[in-house]
Amino acid sequence: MIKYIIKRLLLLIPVMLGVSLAVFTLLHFSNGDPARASLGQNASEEAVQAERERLGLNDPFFVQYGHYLENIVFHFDLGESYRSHKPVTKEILDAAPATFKLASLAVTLAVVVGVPIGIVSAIHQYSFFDNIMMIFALIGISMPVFWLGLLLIIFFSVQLGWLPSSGFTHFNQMILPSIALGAQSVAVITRMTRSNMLEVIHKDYIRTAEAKGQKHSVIIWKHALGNALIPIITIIGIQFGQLLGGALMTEVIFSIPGIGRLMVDAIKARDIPIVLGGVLFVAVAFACVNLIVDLLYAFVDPRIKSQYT
Amino acid sequence: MKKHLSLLLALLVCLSFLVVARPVQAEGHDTLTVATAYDAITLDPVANNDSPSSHAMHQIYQGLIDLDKESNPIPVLAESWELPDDVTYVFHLRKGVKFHNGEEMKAEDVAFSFERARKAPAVAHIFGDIKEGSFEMPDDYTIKFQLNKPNTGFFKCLAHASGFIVSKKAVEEEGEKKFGQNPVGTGPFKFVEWKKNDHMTFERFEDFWGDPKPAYKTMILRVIPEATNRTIELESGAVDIAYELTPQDIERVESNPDLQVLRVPEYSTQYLGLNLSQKPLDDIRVRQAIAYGLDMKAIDAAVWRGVGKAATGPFEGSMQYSIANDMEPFARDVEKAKELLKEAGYPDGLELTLSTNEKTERVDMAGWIKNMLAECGISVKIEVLEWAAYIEKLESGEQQMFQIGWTPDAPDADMALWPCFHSSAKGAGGNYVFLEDEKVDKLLEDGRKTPDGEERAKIYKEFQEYIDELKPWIYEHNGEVVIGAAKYIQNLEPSPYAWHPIWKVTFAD
Repeated sequence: MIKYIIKRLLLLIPVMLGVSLAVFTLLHFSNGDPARASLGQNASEEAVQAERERLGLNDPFFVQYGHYLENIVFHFDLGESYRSHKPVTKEILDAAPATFKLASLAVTLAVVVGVPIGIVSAIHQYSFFDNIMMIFALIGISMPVFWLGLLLIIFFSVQLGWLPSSGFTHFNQMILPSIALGAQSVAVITRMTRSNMLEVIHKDYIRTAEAKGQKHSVIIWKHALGNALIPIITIIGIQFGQLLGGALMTEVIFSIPGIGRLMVDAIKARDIPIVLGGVLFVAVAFACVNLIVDLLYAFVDPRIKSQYT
Repeated sequence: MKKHLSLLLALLVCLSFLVVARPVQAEGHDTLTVATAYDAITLDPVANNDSPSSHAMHQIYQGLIDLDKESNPIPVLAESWELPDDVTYVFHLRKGVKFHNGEEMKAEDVAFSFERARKAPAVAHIFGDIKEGSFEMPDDYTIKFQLNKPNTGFFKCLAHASGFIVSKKAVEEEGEKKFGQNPVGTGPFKFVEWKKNDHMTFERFEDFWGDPKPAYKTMILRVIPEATNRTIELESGAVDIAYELTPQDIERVESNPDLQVLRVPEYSTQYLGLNLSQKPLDDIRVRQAIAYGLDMKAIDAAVWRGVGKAATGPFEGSMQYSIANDMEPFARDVEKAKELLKEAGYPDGLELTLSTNEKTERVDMAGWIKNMLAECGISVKIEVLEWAAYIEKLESGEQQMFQIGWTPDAPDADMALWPCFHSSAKGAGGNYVFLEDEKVDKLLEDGRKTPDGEERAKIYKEFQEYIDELKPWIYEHNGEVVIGAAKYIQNLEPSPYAWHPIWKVTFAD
């Protein structure tokens, strides 16, 4: 198991190299002068030149990229923001908790609401409840975050005045963003749970269990759900990863100081160290979530555990 | 079992949607919460020159002087001053002024602050002309320094945020780079906390020398980029003041009996620039044709919907020496425009590119300009660029027509005009129309060194009339500061620069 984890973590290295090279290249060839962005509109041409020299922007592309990698590998240093002159690591670690909280709340909501609805829908296939829930799921999948976010603000903040529309310090500020971000995942997880459960409860061993007089609740929760769970866990993992990267819209609508907003601001200001650091951070987070999901399989399915060697 | 499950489910669904949190209430009057549109970049006076940073710094720092509503200097950290000749400045400092770290402010702090400003690239255009090594401190409360060349506008620049006095000891202890995150000034509030993109917290400085002292203890500047959210938070009472109301929201706030709207003209001027280094815009007749082809008053009304006004000069009318308030927006005359194009050798019209950044109002204006000029036979291609790429293009001189705005750092004609029109500022300096004209340069140089008075007024009048003839700019719009506030907020004095001194705010009972 430990060997497997190490193997997976080592696999991260080429992924990181690829991601960083791709982003570095894109930013390198985009317009806009980071030295100018760093010093402001009014700085003299000489000052900008000196700044370019200091930041190493006059070096050839691969030399710049090499320096960047060297600093990460040997000094654990992602550099310093061109704009605020704070270390990139600090900027990212300041912004990350909000995004993680948001994504976690959204996924929790999705699981807590989506899995039970999916199960009940599967047990009562084509019932009134099932039909209604599937319509809701369809709406949930089709509804873009920014649209739902605005609707929630209009209803809960403007009309009813119950919940604030911005900020992310108090719990009541987190409710609307989590619903907006999680709605799509609720829908996806509901549908996945339903279809997986449907598949399982029509299998022979379930009928056998029913025939031998096993209690209905035990059949559903233990025998059926246990087997339906693996694909559901996969989808939860993927959803969480997507939410981490996709929280941007929600962060913008609800004025949440997360990674998404940090990066959008940085892109606009050509603050390359922040953009690179942010992308790497999200990529690592995504990969780690995937790893955790893979490890979870082992706890759910003993057959898989034996394969981790 | 089924029943239980359904019940549980129904409960869960209800719970997830009906979590009723405590209602949001206005904080007690010990705290002022303000919704701002942008976060500051730094709290170091010389590290950057941007409006959100300046706004925050105006609550925690002070300069030697400030400017009143008519832009006259008023003493702050300096009690009095003398200008023995046209390059020498002598300031007598106020005694007993404490920094937030408990140290007393002395002449060496002032010299240290100005020396930093002199060398800082971001504000070199304001303080770069201080003569190197010219600081003299006859005693702890007197400072004397010189400029390299006479510059009448410099004095007013001392009220700019980059001229704020920092504690020498604090900068040396904290280090140049970290000082911006842990600032120490002499202002009415002191720094407590900064959560980037979320909020900044300041606390009343109990040893503040000024009188009266702030009426409340804690100031919170929240960052809420979405304009609608700022209004919603104001309506719900979560913030006391909301900056930058949009035209759509003004009426809503005005009609709310618990809220008020405060407005003041901004010193910014938006313009349609015509790059003289590009054909065919080097031909004055083509530039005139474009001016005749546009009805800026109509465009302004359609795009800005009553916020601000159509610009009539190269700098805002309420500033000293501006003749903009005596001018009318250029009257549209399509036939005249066509005639001028014919004279210039374009009887069948011509094609031009209009570059702009993605700011909504600018893109909207570009659409109107395109339609109006089409009627005169000028076909316009609109090119929308993202900010960094846009500025790079303007500096390169490859643009034809473009839209941008300029706000001078101090309310002085020299600060307003030199960067935009002097030949030495071509490109990166701010002269994006690449104007190179001897008369323009001469007038600007004279205006810079002539002391305030009738002669200076004459120079700038001549300059404005001449620029109006040359038409490198088609004036578009002067902005307006629009702030929403709760009714109980008093003594809120909006600044034309958006550096509102909210530390002066008091609360009605």
